[in-house]
Amino acid sequence: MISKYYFLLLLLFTSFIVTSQKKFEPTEEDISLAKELSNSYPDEDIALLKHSEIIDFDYDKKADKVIVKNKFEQEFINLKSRTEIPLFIGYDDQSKIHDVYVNHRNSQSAGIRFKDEYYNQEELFHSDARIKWAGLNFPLLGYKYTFGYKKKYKDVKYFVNTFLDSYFPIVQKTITVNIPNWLDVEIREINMDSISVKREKKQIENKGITQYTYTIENVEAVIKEENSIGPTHYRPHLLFLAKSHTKNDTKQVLLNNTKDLYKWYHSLVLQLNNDTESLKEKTLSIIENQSTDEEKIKAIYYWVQDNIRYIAFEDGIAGFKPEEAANVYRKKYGDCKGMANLTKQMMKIAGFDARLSWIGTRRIAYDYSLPTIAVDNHMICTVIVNDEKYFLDATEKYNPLGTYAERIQKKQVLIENEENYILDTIPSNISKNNIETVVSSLKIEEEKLTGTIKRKYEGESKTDFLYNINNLKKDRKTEVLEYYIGRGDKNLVLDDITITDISNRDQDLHLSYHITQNNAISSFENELYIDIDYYKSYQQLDFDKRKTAFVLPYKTLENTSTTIEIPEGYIVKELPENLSVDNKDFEISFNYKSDNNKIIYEKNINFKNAIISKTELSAWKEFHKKLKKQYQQQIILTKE
Amino acid sequence: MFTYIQLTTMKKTSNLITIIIFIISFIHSIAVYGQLPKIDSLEEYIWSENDQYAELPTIPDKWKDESAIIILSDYDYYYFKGNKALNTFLITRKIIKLNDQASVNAFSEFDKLGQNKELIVKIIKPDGSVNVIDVDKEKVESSESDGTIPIAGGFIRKFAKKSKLAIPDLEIGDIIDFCIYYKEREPIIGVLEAPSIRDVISGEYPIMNYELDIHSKKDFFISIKTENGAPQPMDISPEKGKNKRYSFKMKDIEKIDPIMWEYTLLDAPYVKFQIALEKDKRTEAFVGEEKFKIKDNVTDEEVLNYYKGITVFDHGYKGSDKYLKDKDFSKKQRIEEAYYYMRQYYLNQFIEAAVAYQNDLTVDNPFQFYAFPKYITKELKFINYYASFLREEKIPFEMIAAIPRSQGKIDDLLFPDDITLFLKINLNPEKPLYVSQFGNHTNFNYIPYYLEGNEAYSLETGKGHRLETIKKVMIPVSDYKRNNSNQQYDITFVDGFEKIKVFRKSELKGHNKVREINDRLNSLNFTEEDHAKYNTKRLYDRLKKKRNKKKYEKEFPAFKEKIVSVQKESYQESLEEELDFKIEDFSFEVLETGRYNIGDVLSYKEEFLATNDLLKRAGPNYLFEIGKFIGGQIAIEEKDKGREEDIRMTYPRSFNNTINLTIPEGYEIAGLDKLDVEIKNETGGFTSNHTLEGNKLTINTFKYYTHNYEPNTNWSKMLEFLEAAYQFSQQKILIKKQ
Repeated sequence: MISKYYFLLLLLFTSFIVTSQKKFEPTEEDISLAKELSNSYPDEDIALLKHSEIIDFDYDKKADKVIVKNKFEQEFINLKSRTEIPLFIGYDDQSKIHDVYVNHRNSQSAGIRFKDEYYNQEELFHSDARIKWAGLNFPLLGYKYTFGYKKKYKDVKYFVNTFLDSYFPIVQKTITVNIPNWLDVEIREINMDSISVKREKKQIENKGITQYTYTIENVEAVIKEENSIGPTHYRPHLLFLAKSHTKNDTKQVLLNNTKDLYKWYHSLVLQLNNDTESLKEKTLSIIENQSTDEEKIKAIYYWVQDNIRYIAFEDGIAGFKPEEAANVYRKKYGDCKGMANLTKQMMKIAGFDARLSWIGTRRIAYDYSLPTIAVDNHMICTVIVNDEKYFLDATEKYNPLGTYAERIQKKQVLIENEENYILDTIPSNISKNNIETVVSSLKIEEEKLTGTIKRKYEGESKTDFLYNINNLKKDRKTEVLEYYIGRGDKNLVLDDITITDISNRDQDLHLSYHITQNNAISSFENELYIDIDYYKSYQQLDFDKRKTAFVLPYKTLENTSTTIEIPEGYIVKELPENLSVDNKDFEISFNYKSDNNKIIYEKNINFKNAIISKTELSAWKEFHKKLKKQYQQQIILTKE
Repeated sequence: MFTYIQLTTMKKTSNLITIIIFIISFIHSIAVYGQLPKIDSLEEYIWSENDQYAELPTIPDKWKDESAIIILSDYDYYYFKGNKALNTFLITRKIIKLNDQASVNAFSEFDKLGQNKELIVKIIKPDGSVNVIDVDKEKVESSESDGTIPIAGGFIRKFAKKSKLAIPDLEIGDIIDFCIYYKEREPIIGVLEAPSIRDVISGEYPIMNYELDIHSKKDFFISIKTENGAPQPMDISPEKGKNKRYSFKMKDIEKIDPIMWEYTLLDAPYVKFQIALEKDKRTEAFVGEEKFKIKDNVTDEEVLNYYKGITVFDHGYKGSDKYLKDKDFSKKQRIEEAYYYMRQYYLNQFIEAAVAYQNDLTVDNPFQFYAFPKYITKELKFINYYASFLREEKIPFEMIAAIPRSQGKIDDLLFPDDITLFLKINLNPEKPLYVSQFGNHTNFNYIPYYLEGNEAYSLETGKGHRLETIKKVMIPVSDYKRNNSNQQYDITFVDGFEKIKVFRKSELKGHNKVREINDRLNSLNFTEEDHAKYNTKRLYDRLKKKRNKKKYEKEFPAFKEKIVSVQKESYQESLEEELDFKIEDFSFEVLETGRYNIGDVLSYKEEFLATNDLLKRAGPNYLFEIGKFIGGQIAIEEKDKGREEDIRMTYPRSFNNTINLTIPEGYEIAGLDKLDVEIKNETGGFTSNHTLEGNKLTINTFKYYTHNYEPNTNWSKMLEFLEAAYQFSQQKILIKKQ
């Protein structure tokens, strides 16, 4: 009897599995839909059929904070034969994740277990950022899952924006924002011109909320390209500015304007005890032999650059509050805020008016007209001498006083000023100040080019070079320098390398060496073919498929002049044609001439704005075709 | 500490036993903590009054330009027995002078600190002041997971809070003195030996003092040996008591730079050792006669006895009987066919199940559909099975125990870990045959290339099934012609000179085939063929239940399709790397697998478009970098031309290339004289020649390395042909408008 029941139970169980298994598998409709979507998005493995995000605001009476409840649900479909993707949800000390689920298409749980770990980013030594993550396997074309979770922000201040697009193409997405009548939240729409958005606004009287709905359809996946500008520059998103609330009939200001933002930042600074006794002796010894203000500022600034290791921390409130200067001094490491604070306190000891200053690097599209913590991501120190301001970013190693890294140029800076603040802008640089000059004097020896090359680095090209060379192992410097120049090409033999003082950031850097470039000349019958441009710079910058702006590390100007002696008995048969281009972002020219017994080749490359903007991408694509052809062209010498 | 069992991968009920065993052993390992050598304070223990390095020695002037100098590199291994498990703890201390920013960066952070990894650090400033770092205060939490521990059928995640530390106040010119105490090294119950340890002493920084101490017990066995000029270890144990201590010290050690064609273990000083608990046939160590006495060599007899204890050549293996029955095979064919049958029966027939298990292609555990699945993944098991078969067939054989050339010589043998076993079959003593453990695509009559040319042990049975004799033999070295890659290119220009269309057919044999076959073949393409050939059942045919069948028949083809597309991408990447230029419109097809005979080639064809980076305009003419088609060649830098070390390569090998270029109409070729080269000497050679017939230019090149080893005196000879091959790879021809 028992075995009979057992059999029945087993049978029931088995049939249940068969049925449910079938329920997970894609239907014919799902398969056709997947094929259709795969045609529309051939490079994508997964699409989001439906994506809904609901944003609700609430009031935490106990903490006296406005909180945010963010609910997500995404329906994925597989566009390929089999795909595996990682699912991840980021959170930190200011947010919590709950009710995470992954379901099959029949709403039955897929039994996915999420791991919960610190999110280790290479550039951050320590951060409170955590992720819940799991791998999700789509075994068949058209396979679907629904993935949902809730995220709760403990304070509306930390809820800054939400993006409309996704890393997967979207068939339909809806963002619903329910703003209660007691809360004043402004929703800023940013970069929305790039997609078509259906907007809806309605009052839900019985709940006392205003509901905003944003719907998008058939949107391509976020473009994943290297050297891109930050996402807030080009991705469509909503920025939330929570200004005030009137819960319990009392108006309470949150972040209504820049002053409120400053007030909060400043309140964190006021919490510092600024006991700088331990810095005194060192600071005074640094400026001991300096007579002018500028010399003193320079001495302290360079000392912090050289002696404090930059280690990034982002840990809860420590992500906004600087470390005590004494601690940074003791540890000899710190993040940007810690380094800025140490610079400030040392400057104060030296008798200067020094202030902490908040700034958003060029990665961030916002400015201080927006009262949100998303507006900045960096801190520097401003020293005011008479009416002149010195902006000191000690995280920029080998940066001379008075020059500013590309990433902060032209950016607004919010300078500490007791109860108020000063808003200023970091001066901009021009590419000419970063010029890298290469002068080569070469002659032909059989199938080789030999001669001397002199290079000069100024501005950020120099800073970049100094940083790299000074971080190399001492015993490997010559070897690595050779590699840096020759890029590992075995056809190059370098001798007599000389370099000026690599610890002096105030002088231009000069590098010279003797070169033998094997296989640079091809001789056929009575003719010599010269491949004159060894580096063929920017040949690899192939933007055939690129869609977003390309960011360069700094405004680059490379002037190259190469002179080749024409060997006796030869005359020039053909020189490549000159080539030039000039537009908003880049100005490039190639010029060739022969003069008596010499060939002179001059190449000037100028990326004026440290970027090839989206609007100039097609100009670059067109020029790049010519550039590749240019580099293929040979100089031909023939026997007289 | 909390143990978390990853249920997703542990879902199969058959793994319950493993889980149970693990939990028991885990609890056990905690219990062992009670018997740790008691160190109340690591700081007091290391930086005690007796610290020999309380006062630091003067750094020699010759190293003033080094990035860092290791003043002390000290290792103290502690072995002790607890509840039948052999436990290992390690205390390691380093004192390092930091001379530049690179070395400050290298030693400025420590991670994975936790209950089992304790750290103490002090910084000695140039003025002599000492700053002891308060690690507990300065560290920050970094993770909660200690990674995963694989166990049969799944893995277990151990949760333990881990921290990391950025060293405060560390500057160029400082001396960092740190010590790490590793308190647990995965003790396993029932294992009678600790893992063997080999430490190459020299590294990227020069070392003033290297010290290694092994603390064990009187009733433990110990093997220690030093090589390549390292001094002998000493027994410095106290006269009384149960404790033993062995010590090894070395001074003034220069840094080493890795160089091509060199085996570090044959040149750099190193120390190796192993501790064993018992002299037992279950002990995977060569154990001496006397406990605690340093054993620094292994005798022939010990090797014989060791293998006598673990080989079983009367296995009664009948596996291939059915397959071989009624087949009219010669003796040689029988043993060869038996090898391939075993490859299928004990390994490849489970490929589908392994793939299905790993990728969830069936509802139930696919291995349960094999009545008593017997798979061979261990070398010794293979040797036992195949040798038993040879005995039954009454075919004389020897078991060869060899160590890879990169690990040293057989006379330096100290651990069984280093040994690779294979069989030499003396069917015809003049032409012996060889078999080694099978893999998915391995062949009969093959010796792994890394063993070739090394002396090894040959062990033979007597009349019975036990090994009885041992002698030393030399493992033959294969011929460079046998290890050959033959590639043929057909090149045409399309769209004027816009693009270059390339067809390439590759044929590989010998070691060149073996090294590439696993990457080139997709095992899933051969399962059907092998099942049919050897009459084994497909996984699909084993699936009885509808739920498994349905899931598998849908998901397996989708999985296979995915693998094919991923493989294609990786082939394209590897081809771009090989040829050193970008390609597009790539296609790939295997023509012959070479899976059933060592003499058969693995051949495949590739078609692609090369972008015109290889063409350079010269007025109406074009320079074409035709030399690039022989693949990237080794270019020896000036500084390496004066090499002082011997040259140790993988194996003798050869490469043929045929390049057929169709010359576009209206053009002719100049510069052909440069394509004819001949450099040959005893170490190898590079030759190339060309023919021009109508509009077809054919270039044939041949590069070969005669041996797997050349003495340093032959380096200049090698340079001759290496340079010739490199220069050819840089060669251009002129495609000239008529």
